[in-house]
Amino acid sequence: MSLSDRRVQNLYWSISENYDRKYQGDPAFYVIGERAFLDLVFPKNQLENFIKRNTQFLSNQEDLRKVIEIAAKDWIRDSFLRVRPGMAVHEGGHYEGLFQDLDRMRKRSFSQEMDYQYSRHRTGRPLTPGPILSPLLEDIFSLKTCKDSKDFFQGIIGILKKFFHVNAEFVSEDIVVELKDLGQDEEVKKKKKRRIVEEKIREEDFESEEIESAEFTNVKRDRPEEGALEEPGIQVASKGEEKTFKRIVMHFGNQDLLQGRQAELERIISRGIHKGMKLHLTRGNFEKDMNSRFFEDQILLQRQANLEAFEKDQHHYRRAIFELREILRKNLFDDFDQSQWRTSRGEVDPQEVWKYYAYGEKNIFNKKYFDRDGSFSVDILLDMSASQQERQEEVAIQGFLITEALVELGIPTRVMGFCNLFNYQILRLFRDYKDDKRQNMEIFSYKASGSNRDGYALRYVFETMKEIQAENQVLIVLSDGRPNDQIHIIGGSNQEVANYEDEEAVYDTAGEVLQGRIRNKAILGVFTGQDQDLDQEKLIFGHDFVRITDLSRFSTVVGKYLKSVIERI
Amino acid sequence: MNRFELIDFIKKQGVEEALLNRVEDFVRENPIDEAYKDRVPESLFAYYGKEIWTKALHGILSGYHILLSGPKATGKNVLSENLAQVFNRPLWNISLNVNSDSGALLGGKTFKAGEVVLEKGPVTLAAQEGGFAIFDEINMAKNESLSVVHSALDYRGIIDIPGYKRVKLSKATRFIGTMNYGYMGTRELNEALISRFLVIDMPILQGDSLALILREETRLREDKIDLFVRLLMDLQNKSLQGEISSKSVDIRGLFAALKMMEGGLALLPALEMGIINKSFDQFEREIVEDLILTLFSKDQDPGELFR
Repeated sequence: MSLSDRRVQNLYWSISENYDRKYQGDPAFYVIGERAFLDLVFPKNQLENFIKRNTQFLSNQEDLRKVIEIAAKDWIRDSFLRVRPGMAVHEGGHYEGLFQDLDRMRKRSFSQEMDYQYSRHRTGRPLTPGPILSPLLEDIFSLKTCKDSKDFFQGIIGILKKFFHVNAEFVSEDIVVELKDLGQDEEVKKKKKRRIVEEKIREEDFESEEIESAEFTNVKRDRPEEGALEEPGIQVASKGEEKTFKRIVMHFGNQDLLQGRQAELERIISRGIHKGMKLHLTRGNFEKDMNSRFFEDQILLQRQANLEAFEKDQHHYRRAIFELREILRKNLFDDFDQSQWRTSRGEVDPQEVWKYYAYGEKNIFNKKYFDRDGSFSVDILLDMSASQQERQEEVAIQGFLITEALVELGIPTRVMGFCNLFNYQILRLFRDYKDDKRQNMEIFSYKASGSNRDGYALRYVFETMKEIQAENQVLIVLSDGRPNDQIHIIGGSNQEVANYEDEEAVYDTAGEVLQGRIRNKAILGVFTGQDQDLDQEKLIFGHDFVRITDLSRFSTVVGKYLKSVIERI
Repeated sequence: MNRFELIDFIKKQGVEEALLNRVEDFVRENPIDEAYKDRVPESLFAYYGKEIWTKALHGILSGYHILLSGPKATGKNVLSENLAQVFNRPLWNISLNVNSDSGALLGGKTFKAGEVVLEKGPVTLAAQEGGFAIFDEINMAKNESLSVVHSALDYRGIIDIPGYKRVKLSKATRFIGTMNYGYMGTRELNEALISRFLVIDMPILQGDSLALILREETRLREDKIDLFVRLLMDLQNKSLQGEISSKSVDIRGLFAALKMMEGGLALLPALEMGIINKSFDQFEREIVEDLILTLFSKDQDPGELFR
């Protein structure tokens, strides 16, 4: 029986009763069960530690491992089948298969011979060991009488000494836990947490940032903090509009907006501080030339890193998605849309009373019902500016978690990343409202670069939200509360577009959020920045933002706040 | 189980005699109207747990309403029904949902003989007749709907029904709320409502309590009881870990499945109906079925399970 990973893990967790450990072995039903039970009987890696401690530096460590493992399996067998009698059916199949595989072999190594003899034993066949193996197997089977794991380890120590001249030792459980297992486990747990809340800057991030910056600015610099950009003597090559557009396409992929639509949208939203801004909506389809290839590869590399980070802790993330989905299901679908029906009881409608006297009509009362199918659409906007480079994986994963939960509920969800280059607002469309669920994986192609004009991106989203018919429209913005687009420094060709920085940028963004609320959109900020920017985030979103510091509470926090902002529509 | 058997059962669990004597005094002081005698429940199951019984009895005897909070399968409904029987009160059970409005609680106006009259709702009846009213899944209802009973639940003890009159709460009336708080998908109760209840946090059912129930209520063989207890504990654990929803953690479903097995239905189809299929998510079903298959063989003879 081939099992999906989720089933494999759940089977392991059910039997081992340890939901923190991930099973990585053979995905066969019986093997998982047996391994899980071994881990239940020998908690905190006791067996594995014993094996490692006593065999690690020996040339025949594989053989010794096999002897110890078979002894352990034999010792737990009866209890295993007593506690999990259903496994008896699978036991036969497993050992029969093992026997058949090994029986065909002409020559078997020591470990294989041990497996072979043991499979004969478990399938009820007579044993055929040579004069050397016979007493060894007898001694192994005699361990069955051991009452507890300490006895069992003492027995094993005797066997290793008698047959392999190995002076094994058993360190008492407490010491084992303290010195090796527990310490290791705790460390792993801490690491996991840290990875989620405080991502470290990897060296390649710096490298990629340098390469990219040099490409799009034509400015060579050593480190961003050296302030080279602000020196007056920098040579900035002036680009024509067409050349700029080509660069944009090279960096982010082809334009997906039709020209007419683009012009129309720009006419509506490129006003005020954003005057002169252009839109570039892309799904990340690149040209086939070498330069584009370079940028595409950069994105693919980041995608790989994002996916790796996700897969590393996939089970916790899947749980978070499941929980968020359930919270949203209850909270989003329960409250909306009241409708009124005429019934024979409830609140009397005075205007209808005459009907009773005229025709005996009894349905002259009103009763209120809440429809559960209040329609929703959700937009998720990911800040894709370079300031997010330190936590790209984190942002991609958080975006993915929310999207998965929403899409599983059948809520039309659009996910976009936004950043700026020159006078272009790049909107990377990861998934559109009606895309297939598989498209959610595109969110892992999130890569941070460039600057950001949050207010302009918000204008675009509010303007295009009209495309989907939904009674309740929700926008979730994952950003670091630092809108910044110092366009005059890096560009040069677009002097007509105003700089977007400091207070002005924050107030513009806050203004757009307010505009959205006035237009009855529910807006929630998910803060993905640093402590010192919290005040700005608060200024932009008011009280409607969340900061996730512990992913185990991600679903509860996001679910709860999302509910509260929607309630206020 | 009649009232005396139930009281005996509570005594056996170690609940103080003096407390039960106070219950008897309460029953004596609050005779029940003949017309509502058939509303006094006769419990099929009894709640196990001295501590919870003691808390609940004290709460009710002191004149307060109680809120039973805990995840699924912790015996909230069994305890509320038991309480009504022990105190010999007529019981009104109100299953709340998002569509429950004040009319569903207090009653609505209707026409009788050409006149608009009030058809009393369960809360009004319980208030007048000294009954117990259970607000089942209280956190499923909208807080606005429940606000109409705020005045009944606090020191005022009255319900003011617009267009009718003020109904004074009988001194024997108690409201018992049940809720599944802090679990996936439940809503927040507002503080005004919570403050009107004494809250009892129902402990998650432990293996030995479940074994006791299975021993008392079914004819399962002793060695098989352990397996069914393990099944439910594993499911409960899995649900608390967020791997599956609570739909399959279903004691009622387990009892129904056992009943069908006793009637001759094979184990897996019976558990499918009672437990596995309670979830409509294919992944979840597979996980639950895998778990069952670690405990029972597919072709388990149902006859062998029972004494």
